[in-house]
Amino acid sequence: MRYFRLVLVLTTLLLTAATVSAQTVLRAGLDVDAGTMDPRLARDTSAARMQELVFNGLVTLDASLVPQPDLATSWEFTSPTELVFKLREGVVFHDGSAFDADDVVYTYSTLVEEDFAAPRRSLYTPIEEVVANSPLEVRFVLSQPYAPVLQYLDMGIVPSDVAENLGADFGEQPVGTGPFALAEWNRGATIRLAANDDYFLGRPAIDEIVINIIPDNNVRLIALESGDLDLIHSPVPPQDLARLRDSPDLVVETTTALGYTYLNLNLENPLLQDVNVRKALAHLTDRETISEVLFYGMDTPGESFLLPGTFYYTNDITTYDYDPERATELLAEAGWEDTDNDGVLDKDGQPLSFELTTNVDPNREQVLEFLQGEWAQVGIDASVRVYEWPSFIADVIAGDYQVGLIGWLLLNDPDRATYLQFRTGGDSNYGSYSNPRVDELLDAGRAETDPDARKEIYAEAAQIVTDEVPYIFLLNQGYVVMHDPGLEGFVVHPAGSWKSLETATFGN
Amino acid sequence: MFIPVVLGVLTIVFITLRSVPGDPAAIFVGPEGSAADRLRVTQALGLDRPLPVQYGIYVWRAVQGDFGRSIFLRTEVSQLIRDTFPATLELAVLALIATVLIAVPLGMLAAVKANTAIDFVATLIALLGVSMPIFWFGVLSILLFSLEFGWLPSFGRGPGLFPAISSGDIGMVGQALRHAFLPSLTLAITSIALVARLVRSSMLEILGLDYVRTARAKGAGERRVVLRHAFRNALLSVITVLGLQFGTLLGGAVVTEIIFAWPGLGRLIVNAISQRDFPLIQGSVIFVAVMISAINLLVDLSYAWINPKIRYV
Repeated sequence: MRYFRLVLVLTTLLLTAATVSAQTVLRAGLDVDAGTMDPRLARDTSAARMQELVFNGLVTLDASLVPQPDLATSWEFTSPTELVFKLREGVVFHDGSAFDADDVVYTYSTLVEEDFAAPRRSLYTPIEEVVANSPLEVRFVLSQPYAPVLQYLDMGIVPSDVAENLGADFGEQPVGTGPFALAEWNRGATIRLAANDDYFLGRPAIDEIVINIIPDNNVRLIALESGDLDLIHSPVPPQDLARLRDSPDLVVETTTALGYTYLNLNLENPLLQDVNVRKALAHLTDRETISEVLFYGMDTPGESFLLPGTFYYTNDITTYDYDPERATELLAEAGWEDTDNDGVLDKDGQPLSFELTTNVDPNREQVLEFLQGEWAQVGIDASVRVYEWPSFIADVIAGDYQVGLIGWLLLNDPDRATYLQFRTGGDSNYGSYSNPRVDELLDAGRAETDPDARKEIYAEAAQIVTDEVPYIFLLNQGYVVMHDPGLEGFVVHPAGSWKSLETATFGN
Repeated sequence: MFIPVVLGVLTIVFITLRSVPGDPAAIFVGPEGSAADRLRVTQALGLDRPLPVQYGIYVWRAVQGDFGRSIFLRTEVSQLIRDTFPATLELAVLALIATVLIAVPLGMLAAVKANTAIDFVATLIALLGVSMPIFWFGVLSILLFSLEFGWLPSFGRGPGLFPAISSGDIGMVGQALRHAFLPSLTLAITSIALVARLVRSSMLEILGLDYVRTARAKGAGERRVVLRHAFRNALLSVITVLGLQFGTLLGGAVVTEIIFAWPGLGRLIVNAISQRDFPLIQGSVIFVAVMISAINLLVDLSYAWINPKIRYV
């Protein structure tokens, strides 16, 4: 009898529902924990999300990536190398202290310091000096005309005195001007943000946001479906997107993201130095099938470094379509024949063989296996090696690879997508690509402030790069958001921004 | 024995990390960084110094309790371990309890009813437990109990059992148990299988021994024979295995922690490895080695208590 009572108590405990709260709490799920809450040091996607909610930048990029006023109310280029911002009055930090130009000066001065080791420092090196003209006016002095600068000035502004005092601890005890303040952070588990009563756009309707760190993509999705979460976004398993797209219980929205997946061809490899071989490989890459079958349409076929949905995108780029016959012709013209009848093309005793490498990722592995099979059909011997990220990227950076499957993210400006990657000697030009005309165009694009002129410059560069195939652009990444229908006013943003939560409402 | 083990582990981890490919500076700086940036970070992290120098500095600081700061989490390693270890311990303890509650009776039943249908079923359960991949079982249990039935939470530790118990809030304890149920069961399935089979074979062996026959001849009831005489003596090998299993549970909770988003040390170590966060990897692995050594020591010491015939000179 006593035993039975014990069982009854235990069962009741197990089935007891969670406590009810009168507050509006939005429960979100992210795949990784933020490494830091200091916007200057943010290097992962979760840190970026926190930056959007806890801080404000001078500007914010809207869903079309056009800079809009945030802490700055207006700005103008007083000369090609000087940018002046008028700042918003009456803004306070979470600790009650007033925001002014000194905070902007401090934020950017520390950011460009070499020893500060900010991961995105390279984007800000053309900033020579930041000066406070008055408490509500700040001037950026550039070392040369730098067109993308406004795209990068959405970085969170930190309070100079607090950040200076806390030093490295500021990353754990952030103080910003944003719509939400950090209430609690259980490392690796949960982040709790509470609405800021004094936010300059008005207190958010959502009282609290609880972010749960759930590394496994499947479990995160199950949590949303079972009602344990209200909001998740990419990464989402592509097959589940197909399944849930038309679900009546969830709002599922997609848009093009600011990234692409591609094959990086190492031009130091003698076999890949022949542009006809590279063209043949491009003709052998069935991007449509990869997109539809392996990614369930979540990522769309790529063509160039210009991303759909952005101002710089143009439909006019011509690519090497999937055409195995043309590929065979090109390879034959280049002198590749199967002289020893072993099923593999060869030339001067050298077989046409490549090692395809990538990091451990189920979708990426499938892509390489697919390509291996496709390329084998025309006599290319491709082997696939998949290994963990740190080793893989170390090899790529060292140029120790042949064909690597990688991606680029956060490409909120064409300069960011091209300068380091395609310019001769660029830091991210792992495959040693070099074209003098492209160099000219990239230099011009970086300095050209007229958007239409800039668009033409990058269109020309994009066509050249696609023609010469240092990269085979496989897929333009898609961005997926899934949330409870009770969340209204959430804006799907190609950069994955959650800033719209400052004005969104949530009721279920 | 303790110190050499710890020092050995420290040395092996230290050398291995610096020998395998993968550079924390490159990962830290990111794909948009330059070689100059990477060099600067390498120097800031002290990774450009000669290996013996790095080793010496590390050991010198470690014996003073300073395990450095995580490169990517920027928090003190000892703090991170302190924050995450209780969660892993909780999971391992609950899995151990689940093992004892399920495997011991299961094994005893199988032994007592040897070669009957009951024995067959029990052995089958044991076999399934050993064969099922943790990942598969874990995700399946979430799909079933969280999504399908809606009985249990789909992820996370909730308030945590240890904090809940110390707060005295029954509701909180209930919450914590609900969160811990599936993860601890998932973690325990392999142990359950192992221990059940061990209990069964131990018991069978003992039940065939002379003194058991004597007990029966003396007229002792079957229950008394099984529990008092046979089981007591099987206890020694069972305790040994449970103790060693606890170490395994402690170290093997990684997959369970990742699936259930359980904020434990295992998950912390895996993330650290994938980023080559040297200080965090070193500190955590040393900590786990110390823990397991301590557990093994306790298991050894418990022999004397269980079996008076064994005494350490």
